[in-house]
Amino acid sequence: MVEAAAQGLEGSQGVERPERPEGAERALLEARDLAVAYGSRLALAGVDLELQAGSIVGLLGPNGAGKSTLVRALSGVAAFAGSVTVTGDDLRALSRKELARRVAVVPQEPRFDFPFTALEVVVMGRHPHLAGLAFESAADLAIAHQALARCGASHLALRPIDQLSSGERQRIVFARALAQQAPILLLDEPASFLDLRYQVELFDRVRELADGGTGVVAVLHDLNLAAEYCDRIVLLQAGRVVASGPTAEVLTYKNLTAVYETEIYVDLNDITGALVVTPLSTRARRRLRQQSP
Amino acid sequence: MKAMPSSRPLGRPLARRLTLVTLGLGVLLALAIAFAVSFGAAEVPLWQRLLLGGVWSEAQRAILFALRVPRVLTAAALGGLLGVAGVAFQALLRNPLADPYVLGVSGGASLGGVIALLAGVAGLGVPLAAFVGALASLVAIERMATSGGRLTVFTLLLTGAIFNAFSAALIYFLQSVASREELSAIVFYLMGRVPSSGPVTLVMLWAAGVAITVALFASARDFNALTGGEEGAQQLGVDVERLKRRTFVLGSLATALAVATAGLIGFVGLVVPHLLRRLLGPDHRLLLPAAFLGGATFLVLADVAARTLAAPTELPVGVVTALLGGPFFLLLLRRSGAMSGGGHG
Amino acid sequence: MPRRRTALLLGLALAAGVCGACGAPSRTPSVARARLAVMAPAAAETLVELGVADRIVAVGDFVDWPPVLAGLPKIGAYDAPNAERLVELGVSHLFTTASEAGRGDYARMGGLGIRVVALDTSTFAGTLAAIAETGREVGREAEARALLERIESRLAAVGERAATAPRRRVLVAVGYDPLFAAGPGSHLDELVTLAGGENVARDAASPYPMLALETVLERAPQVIVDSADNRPGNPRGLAAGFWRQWPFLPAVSEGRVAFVDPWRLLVPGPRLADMAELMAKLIQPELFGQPRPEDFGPPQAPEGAP
Repeated sequence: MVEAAAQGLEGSQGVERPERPEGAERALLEARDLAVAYGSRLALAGVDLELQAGSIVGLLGPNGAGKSTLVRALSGVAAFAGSVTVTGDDLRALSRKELARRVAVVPQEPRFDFPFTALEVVVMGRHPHLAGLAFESAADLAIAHQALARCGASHLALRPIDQLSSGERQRIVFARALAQQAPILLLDEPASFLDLRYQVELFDRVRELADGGTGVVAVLHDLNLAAEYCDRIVLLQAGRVVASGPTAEVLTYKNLTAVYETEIYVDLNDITGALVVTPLSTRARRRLRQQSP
Repeated sequence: MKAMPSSRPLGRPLARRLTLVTLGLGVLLALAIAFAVSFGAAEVPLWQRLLLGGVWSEAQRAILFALRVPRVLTAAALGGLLGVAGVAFQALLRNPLADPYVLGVSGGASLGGVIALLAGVAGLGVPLAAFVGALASLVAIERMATSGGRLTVFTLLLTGAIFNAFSAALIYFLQSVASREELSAIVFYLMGRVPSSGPVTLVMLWAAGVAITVALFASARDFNALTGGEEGAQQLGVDVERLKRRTFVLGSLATALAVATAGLIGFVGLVVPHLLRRLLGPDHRLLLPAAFLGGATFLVLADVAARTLAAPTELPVGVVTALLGGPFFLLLLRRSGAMSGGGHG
Repeated sequence: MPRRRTALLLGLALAAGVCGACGAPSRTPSVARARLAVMAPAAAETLVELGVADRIVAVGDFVDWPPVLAGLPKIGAYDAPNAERLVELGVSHLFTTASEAGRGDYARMGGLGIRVVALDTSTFAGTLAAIAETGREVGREAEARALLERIESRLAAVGERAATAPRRRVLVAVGYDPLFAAGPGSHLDELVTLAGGENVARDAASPYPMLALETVLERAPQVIVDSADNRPGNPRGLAAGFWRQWPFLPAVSEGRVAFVDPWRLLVPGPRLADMAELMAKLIQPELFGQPRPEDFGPPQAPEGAP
């Protein structure tokens, strides 16, 4: 059904077309012509995505663009048409456990029904590596503790998860994903509840992981974070990819204004050398008009 | 006001604690059984004779071995079945307030039993009819709650509630047209009473209880992972559809056996898992075996009370569990506030 | 005796009935032109015994005896007679069991011009008083008095004779699974005491308690009167039946287990003296003689019933 719906689509209205890097090594994660439907509504169509080892790909777009849907499809939780290849294997051919060993997901709003401790939750990240009735080994516990430490959350280890703030919970589920030790990391707005300090810390960790070979796909709302940390950007609008490529090439005034439907100014910060993305208020727009006729 | 868990072991220490808890509860159960066999409406000098020698009269022998021992062992098996069913459904529905009867299988079972009673079937006919009723409702509910190959927990819950309401309505109707004797038979059947089962039934109940507990235990870590939501669990490698189906079937089977044997004994499947979760934590590797042994102990003790409190009149054990369980549960809720139940995702 | 179960399994539903009359004019019930409705089996027997069977126009669902009443229209179960049907049939007197639940309904019927006679026949004293009251209501005081004298003299005779023998321990069973016995406050308990027995359920909590089997085994009854009818395949007469699994019970080993049709013993009414005599034969056969085979079955239709 998804295939049929996907075939009924018209050509993309995208502003800039995705480019396939020549001579690229085999991608960690590759999606071709991905489509996902919820009932009769097409949430994603004709999506291509490539994730190389060591790279951080940002998924950007307004609400309803299909970012979370894409994460769900890539983690095998949503049914999709098209192909997804995970470290060389067809996703559909993998068992759930095998997929979980290769892809770790940090969900958007983690909620828990029973009062497990933070450590117990992080240890659940070892689940894909544990057979049947096995209990966790000392090595598994060590990995969990390390993950907690890397997130600066060791002091939360014995606290029941339902007593933590949403920011603390986000760090715990991030630690859980770390504990999974998967080569591919999918993050769905992992920092939305975090203080600036913890946002920076989290993404610094992500950068470290990427430098160590992990491939990361991160759904982000904060364009500046995306500008700072992502190597490549995939820009989504209404379920389709409108632009895809290195960050500086995708984060342009033209692309962003079209997709977010408001004027967005992109500049280079002289001091940090980073791209600065600024949505313009009415007053700012007026000032800009006056400066450059 | 909930105490912070000072030690929640994982890994090998957890395995050790599991052994400890199982042994401890096992000993507790054995003591409860010994206690329960010593007391009843009649006075039988059990321990004096055992320890100091002497003979029992034929009546005393009959009381002990034809009535009390089978009944106590039945109570233990049923309590165990209800305990694990409670844990299973609480994990499946991801809600600590679920009990074994909430998914509708008990409605079908009690309806089957009532119809058999009114049809004048005696002896094994009633439990058999109840079990058939339970199986029929199990299949029907599972079919109704599955769409596109996926079992939706919310639909399961609704379907179960409707089934229960429907069965209750039918039972009310049957009660309204029953004669006085039939009426009291129905009422007492529904109130729950532990029978003195024959050896075959006993072996079957115990075997089923142990087998179901072990089968659920195999999914214990999966249940743990499920606490973060179905998608979260899938992303950790759990085959959630298979787990849901399996849990529903196993839990319903345990409930069906319990209701078919003894009618509707309430609160065991709700209070025991809840209490154990507060004492041992939410890890299902501890909870499941503990719920089997704990549920068994609970019902054995409740049954002694039912047999002795108003002697020579017998109270239906469902009344005792409700009288014990109700206030106890309220106490639990008050002390824990909104916390230990956990937010529902 | 038609079994109620058949009707039940055919999906008996209470018919609402179409009420033709919107309201009955209030009338003072005249005894001569009375139209009677009877809910309780005991009251039905009394009315037939007093010779007013021809004035009965409707019966409760569970009244189908004496046979003369069998064809009459049915108007509902114990506590809930169908008011519309009563009015439609022009009922003037309603004989029913005294019950808290029915009190509201009874008051309403009074308002419809129906005289409600609520009788408590759960005890000896109540049964005898009910016969007298019934007689008053239908203008047959003399017949009622005569009936009562006959009953009371026979009861006294039984009591005197039985008092000369040592008491025997008795169990009266009225239901299985669970075991229900006749306990203190029931007419059966009084019958047992009158007939020279000692009820093993004497310290139970209610007239018809759920009795622990352990108690029965411990107290070793010497006579068991089994009127439980909910186990198909029960024998009739002196037989061990269900109780054979405990051969050490004196009642079983001495052959004093009697299976008696429930209608014979469980409906306390004009046959109270018959019941006492049967109970005496079961408990003290040396004094009263052995019961005849037909004594275990359902009661015979009363003599001279019109």
